[in-house]
Amino acid sequence: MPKKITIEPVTRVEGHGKVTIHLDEEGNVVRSRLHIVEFRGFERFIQGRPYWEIPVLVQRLCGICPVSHHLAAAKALDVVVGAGTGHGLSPTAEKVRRLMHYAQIFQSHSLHFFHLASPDLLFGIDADPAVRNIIGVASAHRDLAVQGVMMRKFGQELIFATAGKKIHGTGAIPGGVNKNLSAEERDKFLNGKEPLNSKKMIEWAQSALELFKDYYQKNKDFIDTFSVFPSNHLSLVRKDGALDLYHGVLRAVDSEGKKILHDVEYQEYFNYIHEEVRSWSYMKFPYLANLGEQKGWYRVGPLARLNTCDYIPTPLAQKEFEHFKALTHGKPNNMCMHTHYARLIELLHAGEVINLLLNDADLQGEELVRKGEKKPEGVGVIEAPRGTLFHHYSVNEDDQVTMANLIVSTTHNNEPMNQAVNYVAKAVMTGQKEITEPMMNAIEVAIRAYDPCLSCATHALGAMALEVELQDYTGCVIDTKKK
Amino acid sequence: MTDSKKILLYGYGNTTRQDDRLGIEFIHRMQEWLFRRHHDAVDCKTSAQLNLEDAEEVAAYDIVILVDASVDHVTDYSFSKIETEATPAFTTHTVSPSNLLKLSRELYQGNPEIYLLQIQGYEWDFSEQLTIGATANLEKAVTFAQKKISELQSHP
Repeated sequence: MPKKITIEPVTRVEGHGKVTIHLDEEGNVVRSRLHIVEFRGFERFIQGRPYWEIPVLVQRLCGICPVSHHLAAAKALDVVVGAGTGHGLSPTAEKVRRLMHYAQIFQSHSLHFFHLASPDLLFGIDADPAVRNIIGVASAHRDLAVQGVMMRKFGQELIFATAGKKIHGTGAIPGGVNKNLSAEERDKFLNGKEPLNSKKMIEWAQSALELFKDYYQKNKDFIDTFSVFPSNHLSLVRKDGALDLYHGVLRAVDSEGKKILHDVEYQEYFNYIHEEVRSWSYMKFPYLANLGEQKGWYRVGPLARLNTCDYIPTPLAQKEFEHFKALTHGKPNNMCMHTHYARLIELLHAGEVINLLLNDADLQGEELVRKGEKKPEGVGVIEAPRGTLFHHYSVNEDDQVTMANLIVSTTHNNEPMNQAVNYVAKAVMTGQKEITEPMMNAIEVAIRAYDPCLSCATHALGAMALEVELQDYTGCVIDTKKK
Repeated sequence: MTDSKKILLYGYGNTTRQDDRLGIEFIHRMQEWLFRRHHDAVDCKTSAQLNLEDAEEVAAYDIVILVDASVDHVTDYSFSKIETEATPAFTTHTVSPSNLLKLSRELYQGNPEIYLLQIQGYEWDFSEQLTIGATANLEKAVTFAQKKISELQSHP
């Protein structure tokens, strides 16, 4: 009997998702989908609000990555207030924002690795789910769990110092920031009591990388073959090709490394990136316009960023980058599980950037805001922890927002995640007579590598009721469950 | 008051999703009352959701009352003690109260009594206003909590 197997909800992923897997009469996987069941409405909600409210208001999208939205919105409104398209802020303003952003990257990457990915890596994807979670890590590897929490705390404290609050801060405003970083605050992070100082964070980021590399050596076959499929990759890069998570130009490469989007300015992103709507999901499917809907989809996030950039401008992360690139002889890496490796290299890079910025006297500067001739429209793009984030606003003469378009990282990864689900489902479920929990978790492992934030992607709430639906090959509902 | 139990009131929710702001509104109301009554041993905290790092903070308290909107059907509000350390929640986007208790014990050797005060909400669209029904439930929950705090403080 052909059947549809549903994994609902996807565990250890921010937000909620439903996976449906369709089997034919012989038990072969014929189709798999990641469904997003919530609705979008935030863009409509903010219309009519004065533009200066937006950097604060837009953070309500999500409690996990609010800083990314805060900064992307501020960057878009920098254009509106005449502060330029990325390099028009004062040195103090730009560096305070960069510090805020890299703190966000640091805490988010720490959270993901230690609390979402490490249970699989430490216990194995076939382990008992009662153990294969952060509580299990806390019980069996207490020091590691404490380290993960402290790394997140360090990032959160730095966000508090730069944004004014840990979640839904107010530090970035159109044209700049509303506070600098005092010398006292700087010293707290540079020379703080162990372990909460920047040097210890770099050391711990290095040890996290070593933990992964050790796991990789022992599980190379799994890491190198789990959910591998060719794709395009997109991200911001600095104009000289360096990794830059705060600002840059848009670059995309294909699975062989050939450039398919040539370092374009993002203010007219809509000329290069279109969005497709599909009937079975509330999330859109972005694609590169020059390649079309079928071939134009792409990955964003840590793996994509290390595939598009030419180098990393901090020494320890650059060294790790060279090892990483050597695995694929300099070509793009299309191995899904290497996203964890890439994320940890970025974690180290973020730690180094934070340390560098804390030693920069511009952070204590007094010039915080710049403005010029107002414009009716602005786009802000940033590399959020999960990938490229677009905020686009139009503002009328009464300073009200009249149009908002947000393309969040997880939306860009919509098609890659579907590809990943389909690839893994076919690999682990085809021909099997018994569907086990580890098989179902394998699907989720593929999705979690993308670190999707489904609340952001659909601008929805956290805990709501979820529904499981089992359909046969005719579409008839066989079983329904609710959680 | 040196022997008073140290209490944390922790409300959380999304303030742009109508009744999901109940936990936050509750804390605002209680802060006014606590200030008038000079309840020094009671602290207040708000957040968008529970976070893993909250485990360190709650470990330092004797009693923690978590306050959230309820999407399930409770009558006005419900108050329950978190006793069991259930299977962890499926996402760290919303750390469950039982996870918080478990982590505070495992990582920080704390052993707070954790209670969950759930206030019934009705609508969750994009708005910054509570519904009439949620507002009424908030009043009842605040009245209950004020009695409970006074009771807890008078029996250290």
